[in-house]
Amino acid sequence: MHSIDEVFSWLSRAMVHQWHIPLVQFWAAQAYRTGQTRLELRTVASEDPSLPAAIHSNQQVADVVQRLLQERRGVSPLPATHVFSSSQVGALAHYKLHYWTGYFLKNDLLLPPKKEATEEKIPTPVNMIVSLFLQHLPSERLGRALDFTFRHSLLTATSRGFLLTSPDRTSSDSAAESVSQHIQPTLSTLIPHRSESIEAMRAGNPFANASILPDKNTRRLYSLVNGHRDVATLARLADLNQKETEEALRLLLQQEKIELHDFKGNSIDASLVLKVSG
Amino acid sequence: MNIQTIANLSLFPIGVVCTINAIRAFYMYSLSRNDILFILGFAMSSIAMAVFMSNIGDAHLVPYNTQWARYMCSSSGALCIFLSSIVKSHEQLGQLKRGQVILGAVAVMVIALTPILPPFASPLIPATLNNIRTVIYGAALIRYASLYILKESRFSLIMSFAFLLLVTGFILVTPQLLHPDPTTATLNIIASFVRVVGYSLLLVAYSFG
Repeated sequence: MHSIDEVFSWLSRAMVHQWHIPLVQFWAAQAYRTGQTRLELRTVASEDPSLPAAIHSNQQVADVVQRLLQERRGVSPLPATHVFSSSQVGALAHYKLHYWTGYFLKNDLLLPPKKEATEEKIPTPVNMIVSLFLQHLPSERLGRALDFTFRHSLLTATSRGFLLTSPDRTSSDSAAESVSQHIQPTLSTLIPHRSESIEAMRAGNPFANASILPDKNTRRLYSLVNGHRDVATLARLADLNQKETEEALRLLLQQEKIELHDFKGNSIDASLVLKVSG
Repeated sequence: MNIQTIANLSLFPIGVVCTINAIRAFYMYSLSRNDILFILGFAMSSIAMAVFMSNIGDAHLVPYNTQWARYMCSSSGALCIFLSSIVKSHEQLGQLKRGQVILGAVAVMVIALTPILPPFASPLIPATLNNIRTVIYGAALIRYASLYILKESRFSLIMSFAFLLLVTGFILVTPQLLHPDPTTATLNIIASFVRVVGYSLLLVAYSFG
């Protein structure tokens, strides 16, 4: 391999063939000398050769990816109906693509433009979404495997010099950040799990063990927590805005009623995404 | 009104206290969204309903066989308490909560059908229903006894004794169900009072355990 695009291409093909992910796309932010930044599809791999590009590499998918890049977040696997319009969902469903997820990759190393790119394009800080179209909800194991793969691919790409170092940063700084920052946990993608001990609940008097949730919004949100829904979904179902959601989560975390996990099941330090007082 | 009926009617205050506890559990659930409280509220409602259906039948307030509803409610209440003591995850707790709603619908249906449900054709039927109930309460007894051995909590200790008395009460009543005989009435009265103490202990566990 001689370039980062070859890495992306190899990775996407491996994900399709080894893990049977039907469709993989690598989208990246591309900066221009004019100061503009546009979205660019760096590579795409599909399990089904008959799948027309128009089905997946279109403005609607680009809009969703663009929004995630702007919000600097990924999204847990969701039914396509939660992400795309009905016409897009119908087109995807025709090829049995019923779920979608986007991994947000970020660090301050620079992604060089594609080989055949015009000189207007300049190296751009890695700001990418790996878009996966799926037939079924992926297992947590797949999530962990993807996380591991992205982490090490970026490190390997850095060590091979496929990613460029920003002039105002040392390569060691960047390499360290590539490990810690390449997937940023954002609140809306996290999945709250109930953390009250079942053991204690079984053996103790329920009246004595019950802790009151004084706030109505908190109660509404908590009753929807099932260990599968992410914060964005909970907020939508509970009809709460971002501020109310954060406040409710903060209360639940303070009362140790929930803990936050990423979709791979890893526990997340709540202080990374919310200010939680001890 | 014979002594047996008086013994059965002595369960009435237990029904009232169960109702109060059910209301308390549902109210606490509305404030805490703790699923165990929802399950408890349902279980207490079921037991209260069993007591009231039994009282209605014993006092001859209605000319129907209220024992179907009584066994159904009594068994479903204890079953929920037992199942809530063996769940292993919040997900299972949620499933139990949903299952309870179905169980509740069935119980309501049995109560509603009381006017058309037939009298027991054979003493074997109430004896079998009583035995099923005894098995459920027995399972709860074993579960809470094992929880007490593991955790040594006051709550599980009182619950164990409560279920022990209830199981004893149900076993004692079985001969009378199989062979209704005035000579075994004393045993039946003792069984009723043992059950009253058992239910009282159950309520003590939830109030002070």
